[in-house]
Amino acid sequence: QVLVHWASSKVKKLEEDDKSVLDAIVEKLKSIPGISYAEIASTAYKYGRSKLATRLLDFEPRAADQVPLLISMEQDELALKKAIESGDTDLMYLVLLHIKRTKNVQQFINTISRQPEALDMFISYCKEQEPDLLPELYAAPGQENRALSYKFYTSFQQSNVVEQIASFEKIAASLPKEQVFEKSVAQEQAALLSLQRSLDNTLADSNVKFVGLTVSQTLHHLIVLGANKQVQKVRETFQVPDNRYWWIKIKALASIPAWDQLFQFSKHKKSPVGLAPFAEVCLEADEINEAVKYIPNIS
Amino acid sequence: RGGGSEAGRRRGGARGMAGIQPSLEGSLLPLAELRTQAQRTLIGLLDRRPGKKVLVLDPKISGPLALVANIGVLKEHGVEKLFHLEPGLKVGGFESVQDVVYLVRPTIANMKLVSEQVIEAEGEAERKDRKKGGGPGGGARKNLHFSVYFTPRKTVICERILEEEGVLGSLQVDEYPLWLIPFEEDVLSLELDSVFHEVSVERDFSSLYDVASAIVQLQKVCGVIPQVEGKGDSSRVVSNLIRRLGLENDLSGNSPPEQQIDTLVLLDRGVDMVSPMCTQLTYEGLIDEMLGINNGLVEVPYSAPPSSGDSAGGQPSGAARKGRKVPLNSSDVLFRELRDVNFGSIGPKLRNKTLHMREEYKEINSRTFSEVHQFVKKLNIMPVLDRHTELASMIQEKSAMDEGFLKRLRCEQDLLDGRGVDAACEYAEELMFAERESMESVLRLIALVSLVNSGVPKKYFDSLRWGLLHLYGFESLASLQSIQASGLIKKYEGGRNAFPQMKKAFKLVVDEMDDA
Repeated sequence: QVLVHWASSKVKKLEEDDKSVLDAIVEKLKSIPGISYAEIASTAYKYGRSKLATRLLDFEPRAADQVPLLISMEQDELALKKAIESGDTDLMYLVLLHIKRTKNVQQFINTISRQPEALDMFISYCKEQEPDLLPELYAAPGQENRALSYKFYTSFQQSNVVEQIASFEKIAASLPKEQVFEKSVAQEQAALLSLQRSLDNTLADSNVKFVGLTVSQTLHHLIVLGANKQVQKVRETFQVPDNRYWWIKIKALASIPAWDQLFQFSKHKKSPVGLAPFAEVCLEADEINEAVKYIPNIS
Repeated sequence: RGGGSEAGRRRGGARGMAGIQPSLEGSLLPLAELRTQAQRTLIGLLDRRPGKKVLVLDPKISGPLALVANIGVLKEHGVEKLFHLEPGLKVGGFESVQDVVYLVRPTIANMKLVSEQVIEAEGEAERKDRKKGGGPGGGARKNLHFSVYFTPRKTVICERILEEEGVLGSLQVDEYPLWLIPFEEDVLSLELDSVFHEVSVERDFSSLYDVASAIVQLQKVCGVIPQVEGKGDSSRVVSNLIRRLGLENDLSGNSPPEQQIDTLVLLDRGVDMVSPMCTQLTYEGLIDEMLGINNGLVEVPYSAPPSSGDSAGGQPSGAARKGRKVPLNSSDVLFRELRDVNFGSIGPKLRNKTLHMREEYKEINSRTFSEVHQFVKKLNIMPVLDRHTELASMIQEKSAMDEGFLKRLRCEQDLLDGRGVDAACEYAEELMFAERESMESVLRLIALVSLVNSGVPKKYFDSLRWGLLHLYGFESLASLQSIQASGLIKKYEGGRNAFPQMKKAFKLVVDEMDDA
């Protein structure tokens, strides 16, 4: 305490220049633990010696003391830097919220974009608390993947089907052909919804609402309804591989249940998944007699 | 008296042979004291307000909290009603209760719920007042008092949100510094369950600060740990933070406690992602796989009526889902012996124990009084023996006697042996199409392939990806992207696969285990 007092009075002596005061203080106090450099720096700042204050603050190990003082000294960027160094996200939020409060949105975004750790953290916060800021944050460099994920996310949230279709078509159109996977996903989702809309119209008397189902579920229900043309269309449009299609059909037929049809299906073409799945679905439904039919041909 | 069950009993009622709180007797560190201290601190917070209180707990901490403080103690300090923090909860309107205490993790979602509930309760109280015809000063208005205790620490964001919602002025805000919770005499946990996702997918390192803080707290009790070793990026961050926080925390004030730990080894989860992708095969592991163990408790379903698949008559069997919660920890002497044993040996061990008991019982007439007394004490093990025999047979049915389980196991073992990559991918596809396993289970197998093979072979990568999207919906895209970002699943891009060499050099896979 005595030492802090001594250092503070040294700081008040305005006739001595910054460097010598700093050197003197550091020299005397450097081997002593637990000194509150923040207190000394605060005195320096009060007496108008802000440069000295900043340099003194460098020696303050306690970030929780260092950062708030830097904020009050209007050293926002330095405060942010020190907060990030400390690893204490609470301090980081303190600085960020202060900057957000005192600067305009654009300046805030510029500042935060320069510090990727702060940006990452703030994005997590915004997802929960201030989603409106997200589009701007995602416009910052290095955020392209997240920006894309966000576009997908908001599109999925779109409750109006027509708008959702448009949304995904827009995403697909905006992606370069190199991003073939994401582009295809967006295209397929749009195609799926369109198809399901027309199914809901044409097959209006079935008990099924198609919009919102997955591709597999859509196929399942179409098979159950016996809508063969549509089944083939879905297979083609979404390039459903044979092994998956076979499983869907086997389970769909078993769910009706349509055991004769199932048996016919097993004979119709060579099954890419073997005959075991046929027998399995019979067993699951306690239809032993049906299951037995497939046994002779199971290799 | 009572051996291992002593520490399991606390004021507020004995629990019998196996308590919810583990026995910490054999611990090398003062964990029992840590636990007592944690309970004492909580009581201190509760005692700040006299009289009856409503306690609202964040569901994420109520489990771990039970390992530190039991309900009897809470009742002794005025807790009249205990709730989980959830939407729609009404906290006001309880007769003779003036205090509402929230004990929560510092999350934004929690703050919103708390604010809603405080506003609702205050509004309700005001309405009641007006009904009673009380004008200003008319009628003794009992104001509800609200306290919010954050654990392990409060944050700026939370206070800010409470402020924005307009409730900060009505609250008393403080911290309940519960950091490392003893789960066993040699296991402590922070119970922060989203760290891997936060660090590897969102690149949010805030939880690492909590890890470092927890260790610094531990050092206050067990002394500074002189040597720190570790592997992984997060470990390095934590190590640096510990050093930094150690500087910040003035240990030169009081005399530092004597050093009880000489080395700290920090390991990133990411150092070994293979193990969690494999099905666990120890007794405790299988119970976790099949039923799930949380905070040392397993929920054992009531035995379902004998029927295959769904009941044809359509009788709602809601009771089959719910079960009773059974504690599984070291205070259960039998469990202590069985937990780490490979499941294959459990049957014989349980049978031996039962036979042994029967043998002793037969000879009881020829024993001395004290020997009989010993035997009767051993008889206390019977309910536990029963419980484990029941558990074990439940597990047996779903594992050793289940073809799907065995096939999966063979798949995993082949992969660890460095072969069967294609077969595993095809089996993963089959699992998906047959829809007999959850998406998580399928992804787990695919991840195992990716990890031991340095990536999923190109010819399966796309078909698996599209299969998942078509089966579970395109919305799953986000999950797939997260999994890829975390490094768990990737496409094989050529180049060397490090796993076989690592396996050989570190003898990672043990072929023979001696469980005699």
